[in-house]
Amino acid sequence: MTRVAGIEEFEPQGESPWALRQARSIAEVFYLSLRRLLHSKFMLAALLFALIPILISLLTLLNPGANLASAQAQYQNFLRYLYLHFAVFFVGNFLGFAVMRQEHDDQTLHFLILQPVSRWTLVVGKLAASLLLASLICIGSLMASYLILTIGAAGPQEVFRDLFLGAHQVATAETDSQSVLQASRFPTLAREAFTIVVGLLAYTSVAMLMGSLFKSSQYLIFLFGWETALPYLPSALKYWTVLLYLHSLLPVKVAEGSKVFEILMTPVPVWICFVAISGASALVLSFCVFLFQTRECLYGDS
Amino acid sequence: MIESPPPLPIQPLDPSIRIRNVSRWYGEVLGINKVTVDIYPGITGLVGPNGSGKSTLMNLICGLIWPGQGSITVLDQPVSSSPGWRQRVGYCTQIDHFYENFSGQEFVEALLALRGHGRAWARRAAADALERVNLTADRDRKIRAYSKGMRQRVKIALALAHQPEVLVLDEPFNGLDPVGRHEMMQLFSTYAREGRTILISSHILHEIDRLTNRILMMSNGYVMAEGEVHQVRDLLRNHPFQVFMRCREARRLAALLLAHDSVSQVSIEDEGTLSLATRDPDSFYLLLNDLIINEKIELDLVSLADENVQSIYDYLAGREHH
Repeated sequence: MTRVAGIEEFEPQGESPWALRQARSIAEVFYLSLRRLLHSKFMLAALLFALIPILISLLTLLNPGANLASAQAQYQNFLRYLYLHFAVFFVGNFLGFAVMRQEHDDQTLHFLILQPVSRWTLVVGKLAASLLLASLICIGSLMASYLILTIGAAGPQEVFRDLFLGAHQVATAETDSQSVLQASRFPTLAREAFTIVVGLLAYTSVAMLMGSLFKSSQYLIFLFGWETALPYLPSALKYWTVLLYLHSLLPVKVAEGSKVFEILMTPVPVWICFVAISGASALVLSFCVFLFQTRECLYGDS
Repeated sequence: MIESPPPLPIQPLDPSIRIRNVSRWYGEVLGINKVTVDIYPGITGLVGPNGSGKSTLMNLICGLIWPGQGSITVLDQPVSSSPGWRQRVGYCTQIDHFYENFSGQEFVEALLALRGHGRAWARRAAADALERVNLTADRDRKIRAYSKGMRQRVKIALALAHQPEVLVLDEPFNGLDPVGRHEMMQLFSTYAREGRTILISSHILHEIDRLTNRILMMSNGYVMAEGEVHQVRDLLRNHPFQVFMRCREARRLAALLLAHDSVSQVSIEDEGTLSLATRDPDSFYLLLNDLIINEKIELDLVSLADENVQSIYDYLAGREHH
């Protein structure tokens, strides 16, 4: 090995363990990507798409639900059709696409490539950044919509009691025998939020691959059509959509007023949902790492 | 008397970069073709016109692009997508794009931190590198507010922040003012004296001349010449050596020189100076010694007028040197 007298590698005293260095590298890629995403034009688009359900929720205040139950049914429709079909899809895709694409568009990819960091570290760090940001946006928007819809219908006191105390509060008050059976709403909301994160994982992973392959985000038109139409068709192709698994993960299976659609979209077992989404995401991300390793850093043609 | 130890045998240094039969095409456009060259510790100047393949060669060495054929090793490790060898290489590209909303310190620190040695190390290394390129006073300003010269300094700081053994610099003087150029030249010379390998490209040939005697000259994707400037010049026998002399008895000296075969042409520029052409510089210098001793000729100055990068480049490119 060529070593030149007098030169010592400029590394810190006491070499850190490999695993610790990898963890630090991922954390730094995460931090760097997060900071860059916040200044991305796609960030504004993602915020806009997350704002639309909130604005529609505000519009419903003109004619609010009769009580908490009807507001929650309304919220279920919001969750399924405004969030899972729309906001989660676009926010996940925008941020996943941006986190990869902006390195090409801004011609800064070589700064990352030239660092002694493995490509999978870069991909994992970038995924973590876009997933965290997308989750905060979507879950924040979902919670805002829930609160607007329910508080508009039943008032803040009832909504917060239903949300955090549920059956305990009602049971000690000994006022309503029907309410004693009612559990806290919070775990259901938490599971719905978790479903959103799972959906974002899938969409962000796919978008990162698309961001590595294509200059333009026009692929979204095809993907949106695929995701919107296929789950409701009586074909095995529905198993190749993310939406089917997300609907299956929701704690409340059937929403009022949407039974026709729900009958067509037969839920699949939860374990299959996890295997399908985590497996597909891992596969897509592996391909992303492979592309990162084999493709050149040329800005003119990629 | 203390007996000094016997001197260590001088070992020729191994090349830091080995390029073997490397070709690279961009579709039907030639990048470089069948390049085989070794680059040793010290400064090597990479010169050639635009489109000659300089940046392609540098991108290949640093693993930003892959060769269509052939192989490259840097510090005995093959250039690949694996991260190990990159620890010891720094690259300052020509690309003038940054994370514009970062400050100079944040930019260098954030990229150094990716190495996984912790923030404290990255902060210290970034501050140290920015100090070496004289950017300490402006390190907390956003890069978008930097001048072209300051942006160039940030790139250089990033390339050398981890103190690499191999430093590849693609047109590092672009945008720098004369003072900045001088500072960077001193910095690179210091690095080279420490035994590091520096490959530096510039289209301003006299800058390369000031930095190094070792050149790699490219044209149309091929290596036209490589080696020490005087060695390359020696090989260009079809171009007579141009010698410039200052002498009080210029006319007498011219007459004496023309009587010998080794001198093909003499011209007197003014009363005190003359220039001549010779195809055999060794015989010419012997002759000159002889004239100084026997004819009592007093010379104020003798210099080779065309033993520099610009002249060699002109000859190889088919242009006459003036």
